[in-house]
Amino acid sequence: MLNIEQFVRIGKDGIGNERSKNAQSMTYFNGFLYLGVTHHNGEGPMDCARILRYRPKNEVWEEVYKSPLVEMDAKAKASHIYAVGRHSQNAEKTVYDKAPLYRGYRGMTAFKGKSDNTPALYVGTISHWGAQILRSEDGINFEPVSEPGLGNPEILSFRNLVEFDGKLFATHAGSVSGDVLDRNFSETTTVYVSDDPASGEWQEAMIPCFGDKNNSAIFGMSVFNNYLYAGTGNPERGFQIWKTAASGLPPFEWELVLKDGAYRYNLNEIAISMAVFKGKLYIGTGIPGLGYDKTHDVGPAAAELIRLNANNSWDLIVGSPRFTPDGLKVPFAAMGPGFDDFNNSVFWSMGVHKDSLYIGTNNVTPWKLAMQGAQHMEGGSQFWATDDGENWEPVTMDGFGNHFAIGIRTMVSSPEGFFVGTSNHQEVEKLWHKRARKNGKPGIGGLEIWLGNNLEKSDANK
Amino acid sequence: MWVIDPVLIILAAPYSHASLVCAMLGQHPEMYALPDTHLFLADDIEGVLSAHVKIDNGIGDGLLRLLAQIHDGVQSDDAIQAAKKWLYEHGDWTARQLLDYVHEKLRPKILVDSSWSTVVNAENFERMRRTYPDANYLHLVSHPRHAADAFYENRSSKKSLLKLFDGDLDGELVWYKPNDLISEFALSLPEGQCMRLMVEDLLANPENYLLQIAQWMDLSTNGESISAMLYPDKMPFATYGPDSAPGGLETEFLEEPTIPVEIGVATLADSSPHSTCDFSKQALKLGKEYGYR
Repeated sequence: MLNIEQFVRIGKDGIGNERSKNAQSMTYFNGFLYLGVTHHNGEGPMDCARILRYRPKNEVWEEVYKSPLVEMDAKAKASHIYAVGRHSQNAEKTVYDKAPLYRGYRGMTAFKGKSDNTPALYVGTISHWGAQILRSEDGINFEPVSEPGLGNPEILSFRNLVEFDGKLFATHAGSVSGDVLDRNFSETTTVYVSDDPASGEWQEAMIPCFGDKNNSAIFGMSVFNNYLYAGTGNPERGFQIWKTAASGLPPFEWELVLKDGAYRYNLNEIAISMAVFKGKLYIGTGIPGLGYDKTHDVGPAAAELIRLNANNSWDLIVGSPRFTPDGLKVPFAAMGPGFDDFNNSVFWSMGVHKDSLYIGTNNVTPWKLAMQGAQHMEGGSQFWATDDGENWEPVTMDGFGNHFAIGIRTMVSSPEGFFVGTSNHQEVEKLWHKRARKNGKPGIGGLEIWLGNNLEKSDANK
Repeated sequence: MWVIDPVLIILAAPYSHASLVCAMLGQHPEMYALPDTHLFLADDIEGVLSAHVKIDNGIGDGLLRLLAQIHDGVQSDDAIQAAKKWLYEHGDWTARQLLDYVHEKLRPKILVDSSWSTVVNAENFERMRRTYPDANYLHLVSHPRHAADAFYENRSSKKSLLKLFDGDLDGELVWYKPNDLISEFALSLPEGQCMRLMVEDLLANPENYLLQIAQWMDLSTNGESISAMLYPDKMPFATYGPDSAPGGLETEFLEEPTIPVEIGVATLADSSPHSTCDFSKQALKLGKEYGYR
């Protein structure tokens, strides 16, 4: 497995815009790493989300797409559902008359549909006026190929774009209704499917919410053992895992594989990350927010790691021992929730590179210390690795040396190495400076991209 | 798995079928179920006996019946009197000394205790925690609606509860406060030392969950051992004791010391015939975390 010495930082400070906090989507396409950056809000032209690409051979970043601007309106300024009415207008804040149509890109994949001559790049946007799907054949020119929200303009974003059985499956996440925004959940949940996304024709691939209105979003999605798996977010009962062979016409038949947050109930509110490793499906859980879902009053709790077998049986790898209808579950890694760290609130991303499995966490330690005005800062996202799925070792415990890189959001394995993208929150550092009365200025902020490979660092820098 | 202290302590809010579960577990050949000893009411036996007198309502019956049983092999009035005398002679003993003494008599069996007084009063709880830092703890939970209804319907046990319970007491608090206390306690322990179990799950599928408890406790898991636990009525304290100490376990269990065939289904949204108030936000949150609908 890779260790910290084998990673080099290839992008920093938001790669040209410090407000680009989140490396939310990445894929390797035609010899380039493609990166979709996300801004926390869309306050003005400076928050236009960009698609960047990087060619490892010449180590240059290039902006290939930037969100268009639209007229500022109430939706552009929508407040998160739990914060509505809490924030007073800041008189000194500049008010812009234009806002970005897309303030982020939450999903990205290469796919060859019926109308595509070659595999094209498809990107799911974040938009307060109904998320869209963008398409690019050459990786330079991007065009929207869907109507806003696939007909539902309240859809905030498309999170997963996953190919299965010759079709592209898309999941939506979050909602915008009037001036109220929910980053993760919505009243209805579905998976969309298309064998020709260039045409803009999509169909619903499941019955709404899998028949349970508390399934308020699909978080993780993966192909495993000839099935497509989807993990829900369910604030009442905890996540559910469903699978389908996607045979016949949509909506397809889905089978419930695991429910009730693997019997930890809503402390495993969401099943957000998935990866297939050595013949098993690994599933990372969590609670959105800072490990406490204010909207639904769930948590706080740390994340767990579940391992699903092809026959629907499951193992607890990292988490709390418990009695379940499926027998006594004791963590194979002999580690409690959050890799024994209560502040690892989400196992946010997961990836396989060569013969190792990696997990990136969202770690809320810096937030807590900043709130407390602690003199000493600790924490930051953690990055863990395993060669066998059960014995885990940390690659970094402090956001690659940056406490304010609180999350590892995405990772991509490529012939050029293993790309890892962070979510950096410099407002935490600002808060910390203020509360702890620190001298000096907070850092610039913005996402970082790291590239790991088994070459010596000096070789990688050549 | 974590058995260092040879005791399994069942932590359960009142009306959670703790006596029944205690009796079931006690039928495992490697465990012995105690009646409610209420030994954490004070720092020493003299204090415990004083508390028994003060609270009355038969709260001391379990300890007397236990000593009668292990000293004389019977629970007669004479044996109860002898047990009482013995207790006064050992008034300076701590709860730990007394339970070590009992354990010595029953060795190598693991003792199982489910005294409800431990969890309704923070002082008692802290005493238990200090006494048995390395015990296995089973956090037994029941549906808050069932607990609330049982609270309003069971007048006799309420008298003792009122004397011991920290603060105000109603159908919600009798469930919420002990469970909140136990949950906080569980968080402070190493993973796996305290395991939570929904009593409804256990009673609906006892073989499955009894096996898991045995695995967790690192006890024998053969079919005979698991089957034995299906007969709580074989516990030596499963019926009323003699006139001088008739109680010692929950009345519901003494009346019907078997696994119920059917358990009512409740939801958090159900209205109560006893109270017009819905559950508070905090009780609903805890109930959902435990897996209740």
